[in-house]
Amino acid sequence: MTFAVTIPTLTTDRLTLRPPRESDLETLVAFGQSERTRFIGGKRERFEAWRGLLAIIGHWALRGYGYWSVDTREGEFVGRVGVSLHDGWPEPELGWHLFDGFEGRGYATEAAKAARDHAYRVWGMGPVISFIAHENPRSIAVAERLGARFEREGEPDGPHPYGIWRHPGVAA
Amino acid sequence: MTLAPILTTERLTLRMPVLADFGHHAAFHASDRSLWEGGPRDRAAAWRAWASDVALWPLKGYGPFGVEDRQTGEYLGEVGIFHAEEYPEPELGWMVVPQAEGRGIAFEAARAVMGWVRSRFGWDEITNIIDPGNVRSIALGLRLGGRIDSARPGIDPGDVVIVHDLRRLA
Repeated sequence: MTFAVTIPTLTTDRLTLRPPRESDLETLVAFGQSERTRFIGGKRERFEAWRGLLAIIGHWALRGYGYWSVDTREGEFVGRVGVSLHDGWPEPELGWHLFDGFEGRGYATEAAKAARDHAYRVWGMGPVISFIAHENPRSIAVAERLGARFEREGEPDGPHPYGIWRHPGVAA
Repeated sequence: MTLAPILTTERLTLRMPVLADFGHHAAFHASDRSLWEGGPRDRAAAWRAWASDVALWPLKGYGPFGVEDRQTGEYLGEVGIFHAEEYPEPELGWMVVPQAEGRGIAFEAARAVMGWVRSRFGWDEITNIIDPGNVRSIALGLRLGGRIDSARPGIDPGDVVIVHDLRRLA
């Protein structure tokens, strides 16, 4: 007997949400050295970037859902989006991040909407939450574009106080 | 993507890790027993370390097996192939829960894993990479028939590398 897990591929107008793979690592190592990690755990060395990539793949194997890597239709790896429930979290969280140079084009909103629709339709989730640092106005703007509303203050667990945002309950 | 097969031995079932195993790993990483594995670690770090090991299955087709008592289903530990990015090669590793120590559980499970990698991948050998202070693991590696190869690179300076000749299993 053998177990298997399938990571679906989703497509939007401009983006492909596809399974993470080992060759994503070099992009993630560079991202791990950038200020853009400020609200998602901070800068990390190569080994932690590797461990983070594999932990995402392990999350799929253990829970049957997780984070996709996001490519443009041209195949450029621009960021990550998905739903995760790490140990100690209150419920599954919809999250997103984009790498340097790909912000300001609506990619995060487009990818997060596709991931959220899939989570509701296929995984039976919803309404999901997002954790967003108060000092991260760009991510708050994405949440608002997705129709999410601030619900409550998050349990303090790091240097950046954050809010718990609640998304609308049905696939838009 | 394919995950772990089920292997059985006289006393044990080896199977794909499942979420319910994590509590045992969190306890291991929180204890001094993890000193030889880079611990202690808090729960969040233990989760990242464990989930990244589980990810080896979809990525590489090998990884850690959860080990259960074949009769009772009691969780006994984790034995399998580990391969973090910094490792020079895939490694045979083991961890048993405190109440399962001293019963030859890791020995029996490791033999099953060695036989499986030989038949599945045709590897001629597999190594253990062990902190020199971890005398119980070194003794187990030697009891399994391995020999210490001081010329091989480990992960950290001073690591003991034990090589098992899998051709002898056939």
